[in-house]
Amino acid sequence: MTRLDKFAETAMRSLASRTSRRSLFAWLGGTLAGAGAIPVLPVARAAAADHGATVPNPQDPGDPHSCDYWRYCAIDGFLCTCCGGAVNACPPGTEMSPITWIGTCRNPADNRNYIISYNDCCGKAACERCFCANMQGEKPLARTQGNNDTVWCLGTASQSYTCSTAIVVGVATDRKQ
Amino acid sequence: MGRGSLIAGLLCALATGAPVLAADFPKPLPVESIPRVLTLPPAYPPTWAFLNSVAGIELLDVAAKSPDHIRGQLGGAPFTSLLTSTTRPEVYAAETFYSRGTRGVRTDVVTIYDTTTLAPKGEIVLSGAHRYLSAPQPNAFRLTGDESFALIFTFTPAAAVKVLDLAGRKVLGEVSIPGCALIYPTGPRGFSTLCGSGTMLTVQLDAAGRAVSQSETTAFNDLTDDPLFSAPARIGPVSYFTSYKGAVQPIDLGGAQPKLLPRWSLVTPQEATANWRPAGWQQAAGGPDGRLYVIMQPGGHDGSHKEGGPEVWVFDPATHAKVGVIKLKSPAQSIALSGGERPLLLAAGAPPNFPLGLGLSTYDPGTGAILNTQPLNFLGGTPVIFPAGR
Repeated sequence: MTRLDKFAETAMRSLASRTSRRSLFAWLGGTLAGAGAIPVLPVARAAAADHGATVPNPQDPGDPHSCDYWRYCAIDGFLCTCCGGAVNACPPGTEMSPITWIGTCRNPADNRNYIISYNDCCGKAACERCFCANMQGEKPLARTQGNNDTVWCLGTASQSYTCSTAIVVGVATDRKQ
Repeated sequence: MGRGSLIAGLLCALATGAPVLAADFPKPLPVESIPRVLTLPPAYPPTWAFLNSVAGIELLDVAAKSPDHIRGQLGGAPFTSLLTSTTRPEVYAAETFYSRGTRGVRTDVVTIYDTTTLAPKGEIVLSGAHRYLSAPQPNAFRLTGDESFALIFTFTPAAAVKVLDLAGRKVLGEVSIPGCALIYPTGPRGFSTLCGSGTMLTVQLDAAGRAVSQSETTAFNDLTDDPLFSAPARIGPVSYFTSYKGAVQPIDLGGAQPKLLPRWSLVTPQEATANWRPAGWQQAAGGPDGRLYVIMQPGGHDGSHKEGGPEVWVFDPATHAKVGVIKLKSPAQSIALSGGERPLLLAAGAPPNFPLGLGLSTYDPGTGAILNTQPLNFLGGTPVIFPAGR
């Protein structure tokens, strides 16, 4: 627990050191001002959320169907955005692997390094669309959690690989350049 | 045939629709027998090689002109992993099947194929069905040095190695290797594995396939800043592991314990400044000539380590001298040297982020001249070449 506490403290201090209260208000203000442009119908919002890219978010720039989208800096596989899923959701009928590997990608909009979890979607045939092979920070299998050669369909009912997602799970505080 | 008869024949053909030259072939083609299936020679020619990609395994003749270069195929299930033998007329494929296609009960099996028919002639079902599934990884499925056992890496992600008795067609047991990955045969009947702590763990097996000893080196693999590629080049008993940034770590795996030999650099300080680095998938190969062949990439950077490169550098491992440079017609991800008295350099590659268009080119390693190129219409890059000739 001591190590965990230390990690949490370091993470929060690091976040706080780079995030002023003023910038939080500026971000909140911008968000609220821009809110009028977002459809308020719950159905429309749900649809947008499901397919991620429908409503552009200036803090999450780029095309999630393209290999050069910032979150995909270390993705290896078929993009779920091209396979009936979303950048952070699996296609219908598949199962998201709870065990996976992580990369660290820099978001060009806010210049933060984010920890990205590349959860595989499993249970259908390989999607075979939008294949990407990006390797930033990728390691050999001896560094298991940093390896993307692996079929990360582990802990799922079927290990048949379908496609890959790229999910923001945190801000990296000590990325080595 | 005179001009007159040709014109007459043409007129006749136009009038009746009958074949023009039928009269010149008084006998019809002979009736052909059905069914007919080709077989292969017991010893493959030196220019034959298996190519293992994500999509499957093909046997091809690198000297033949496309599209007449395919000699057969193995398996067909995704993520099949190949293992060839030098002492038995067999080839092994680790395969994974689901009872309902992509779902249902998973069965992992090592299928034993006959080399002359490419037909299955036996199988070993892997209990637990946990074999490691990945881009083709030759070090996930290996023979022991004496070829008595096959070793297969399993991953849940808890790591282990299953020991298979090939002659008896059965699983003998499983050795847990927590925190370590892949298999490097060590001595006649043992294996080593690379661990997350940067060490190499070595396990020796008895005649029954049980682990009888275990030892671990000190840490030598800097997985954070300059990791060793998982696929070494083998020359005799020594495996040459190249690093992302251009070092080479030779390890003698001929005895019961690995011997870490002195590390050296593939690049001069000037080449290091230009970021010439090893790159690719099967990025290094050992030649029958005792030379070390490495795919090299200029301007290497974080994330470029699997893209392959435009040149193959040739080294004398005894002197560490660069003795040759082969400029490839197109970048390669994987290389191997064929068998035979005049080995050929085989180089396979695909443009990054473009899985179709995989090609295999053949070069004369002495002159660097390209001899042949074959398109390989497989899905996926990261091919592994297994020279199959004897």
